[in-house]
Amino acid sequence: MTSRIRTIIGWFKPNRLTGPIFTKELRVTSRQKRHYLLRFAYIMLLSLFVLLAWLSAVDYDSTGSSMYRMSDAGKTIIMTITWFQFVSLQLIAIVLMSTSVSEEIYRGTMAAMLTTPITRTQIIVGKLLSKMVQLGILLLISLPLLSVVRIFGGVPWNYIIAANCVTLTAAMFTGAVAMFYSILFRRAYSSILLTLATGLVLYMILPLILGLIFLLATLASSGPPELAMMVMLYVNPSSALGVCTMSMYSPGSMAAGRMSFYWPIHCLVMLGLTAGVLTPCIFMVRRVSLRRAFGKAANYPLPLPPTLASRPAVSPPTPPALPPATQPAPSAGQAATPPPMPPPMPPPVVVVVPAATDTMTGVRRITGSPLLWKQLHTGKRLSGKTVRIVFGCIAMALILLLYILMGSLDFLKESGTQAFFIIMYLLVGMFSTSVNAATTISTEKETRSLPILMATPLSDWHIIITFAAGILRRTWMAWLLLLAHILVFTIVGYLKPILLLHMLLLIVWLNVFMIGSGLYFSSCYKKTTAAVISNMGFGLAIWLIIPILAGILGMGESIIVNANPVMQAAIVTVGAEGDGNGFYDWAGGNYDDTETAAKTTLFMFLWLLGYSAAGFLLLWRAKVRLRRKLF
Amino acid sequence: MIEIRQLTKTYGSLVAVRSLDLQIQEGDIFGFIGPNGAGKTTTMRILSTLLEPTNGSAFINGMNVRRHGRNVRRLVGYMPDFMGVYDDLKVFEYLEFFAAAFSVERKKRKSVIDGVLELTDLHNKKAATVDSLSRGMQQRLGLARVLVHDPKVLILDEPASGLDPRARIEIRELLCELKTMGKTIMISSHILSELEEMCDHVGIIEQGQLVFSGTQAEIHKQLSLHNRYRAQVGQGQAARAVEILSSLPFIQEVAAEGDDDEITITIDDSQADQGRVARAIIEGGMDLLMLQPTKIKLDDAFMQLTQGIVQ
Repeated sequence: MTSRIRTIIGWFKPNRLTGPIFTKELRVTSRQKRHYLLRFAYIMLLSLFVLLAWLSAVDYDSTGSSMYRMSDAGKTIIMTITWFQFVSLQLIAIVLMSTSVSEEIYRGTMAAMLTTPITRTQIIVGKLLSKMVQLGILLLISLPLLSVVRIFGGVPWNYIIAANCVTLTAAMFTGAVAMFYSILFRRAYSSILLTLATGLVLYMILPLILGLIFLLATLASSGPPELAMMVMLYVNPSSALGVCTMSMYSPGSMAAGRMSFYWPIHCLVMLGLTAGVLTPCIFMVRRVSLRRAFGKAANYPLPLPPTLASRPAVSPPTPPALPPATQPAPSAGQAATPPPMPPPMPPPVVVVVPAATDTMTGVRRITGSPLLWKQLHTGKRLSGKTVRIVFGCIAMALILLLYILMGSLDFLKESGTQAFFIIMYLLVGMFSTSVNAATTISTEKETRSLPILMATPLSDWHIIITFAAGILRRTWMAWLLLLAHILVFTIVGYLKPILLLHMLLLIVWLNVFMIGSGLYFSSCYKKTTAAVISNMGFGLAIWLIIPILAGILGMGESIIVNANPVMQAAIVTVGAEGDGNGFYDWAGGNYDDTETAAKTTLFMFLWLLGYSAAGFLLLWRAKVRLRRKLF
Repeated sequence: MIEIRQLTKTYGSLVAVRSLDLQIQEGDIFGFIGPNGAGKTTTMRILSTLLEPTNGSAFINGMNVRRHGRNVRRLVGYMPDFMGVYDDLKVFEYLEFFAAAFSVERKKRKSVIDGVLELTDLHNKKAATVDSLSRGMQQRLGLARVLVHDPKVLILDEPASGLDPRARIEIRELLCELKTMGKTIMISSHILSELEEMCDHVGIIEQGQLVFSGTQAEIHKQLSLHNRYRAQVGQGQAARAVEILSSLPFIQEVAAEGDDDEITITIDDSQADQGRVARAIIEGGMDLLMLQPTKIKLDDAFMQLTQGIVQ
């Protein structure tokens, strides 16, 4: 009876769900420097955003003394903190989980783990929960700040609890999605990109499409479908947090009335969705690990070696004769007996196979520079091709739907809509170039093929330039979408043709600069993920963090803001609006003196020269570093 | 063909290679042996122009590997201890890629690649994807790769690791064949019995320093084994043989070994003569069943010459 009770109690032990994986993961994490760096960076960024929120909430009068309402400042700061946590924790969850399973699979430790009594569920859940602890620590870091700011008044505890729960469950769901991709894809950046793409579709494109559908329904006087809206709130964490925030600002609003009951349900829904993502992970992890452990040979049906027939039959080995010196001499009188006969050898097995043929099925011949050929022709047989095609088709279908909805609402004529599409394509192109460039050299290092390449007489410049060409080849599609959009809407008359020139100039410098920075970071690191994160961090620093700091320091109307490619794209798009007056609203420009298209062309050309110079400098640095850290 | 002068390579405070001097003659197979972390791979990487030495210099065919890196690379075929492969290339494409990288003329490439594939017994895997090959086949492909540009010097870092016995024997035979083609081969391996059979010269490195370099006969000399013999006499005659031999002036040391009537004899270096020993035993009225120089295996020599200290 006692043992039965113990067994029943054992079922409810948290350890049963995670096994020793949880402890092991925590132990490993505590020994990694990067987690401490991550916390430091998190606190620094959080402080920056709080400072920004404070400065935006406080007004100064002419005497320099501050004039503000404490409760408003408190609300603004708490909202900044919660939204910062919401976004950053999801991004961190993606990075942490992107290698969680793939690393173990490809180091072979997962296969070893599967030979122990640890269950697949324990592996998956243990890994996810241990990373959630790391995220929980980051949430706790900001809790004292939230408590202090609450003293300002106007912020209910309910909001802080709701925001933290929504953030944590959203991060858990995002982490589970990243883990799912981590099982399917070896490279961390693949998991990161696909998780971000999934997030973009789930949290942005789908809500936007739903919003447009609601708008259409409203215009058709049937009113927004209440149930559909509620579903969106329950499954979309950003909408959930948005409603929570709205209710904090206006306690008497409709959202406030619903908040008290819906956020716990939303959290439960997110937990359910997380479990839904984890379930296939649990089923897949063993299959993928074992396939890796036993090699990939089974995936490639090879013809039976035709040379088996032509190979000479292996004759059975004859026992070697003992040398006379070591043979024991027969003693006197002892008759020399013949050695026992060895058992008869079985006849050699004859394998009947087809005659040897010089098969070159699917083999492509190399022309020109071999490295350029490889950059241009390979990558088509990579794993996960089907997943990529499926995702590509879904994305294209969603974009098409977006165009149809925008068109039916007559929004496509608006310069804001055009800017939205152009910025969306631009970000996709930037993202694609940034990731591809950062993975080029580091992937060769990870696969240990770079030393072999460096042992050939190919010059370092040749290698760098062909790598750059390969990046262009892999990313041209994204840029083509952007140019195609502009071309179509120029023909339709919604945009002016000058936009094509401006955007071409922008695309050229973006490619030179981002390929330069990507190859530079790729040459600095052995790990692809580190290179990708550094390159993206570099982009964020120069195009987001520095402009924000410039804004804080009162340099908002300066060249720093204009240097941002997204800003440039927005300015030239709005300026090239079909019905507009061709006004280009550059930061620091004189509003009385309209910035003309000609002037803008000159600006864009100067940006092209400046960024290209920087890009070539980075390419040169990448070339210098190419032979360092080869092993 | 290969000359290393006072070569030193440090990684921070760790001295991987310390003032290494080495010469390898053209057409030799040079076995480079040493414990893990002794500096073999670092030396090979420097010779392959993949690492820059901290001090000293290395020459291949008279060219400084640091100053004439590109020219040296044309002469050298380097096979690392762990070979990375391009996942998405087929065997033929992989080899053609490197043939093109080494500027092998396009019209000659197919015949060259067919030749190396035949040599490495991979001709039936021409259209197979590289990552679908087994470990042994990938090793063979690595060997095929280093041969596509017909280099004068082959630097092979543990080429037989992970191979089954048959593949090891095949690789050994292949290397002997390459030697007859006039290639200079520098090879490292942990399977010393294999090196023993095919190497002309052997270099033993420990803690970044060369503790021995020379032929296998010179190893015996270094270990003072060149003047040591083993003899077997008739049953019960060992004690008498020891007595007679120990009284001879050119015998340094003589001792009976075990119960097999075997004795070991060390003779004076200046008067070393196997015939005089045989004559003394036979003239003493004993049966001489066997007399031969003491042989030592490379494994044993390695154990005696190194201390097993890991850096």
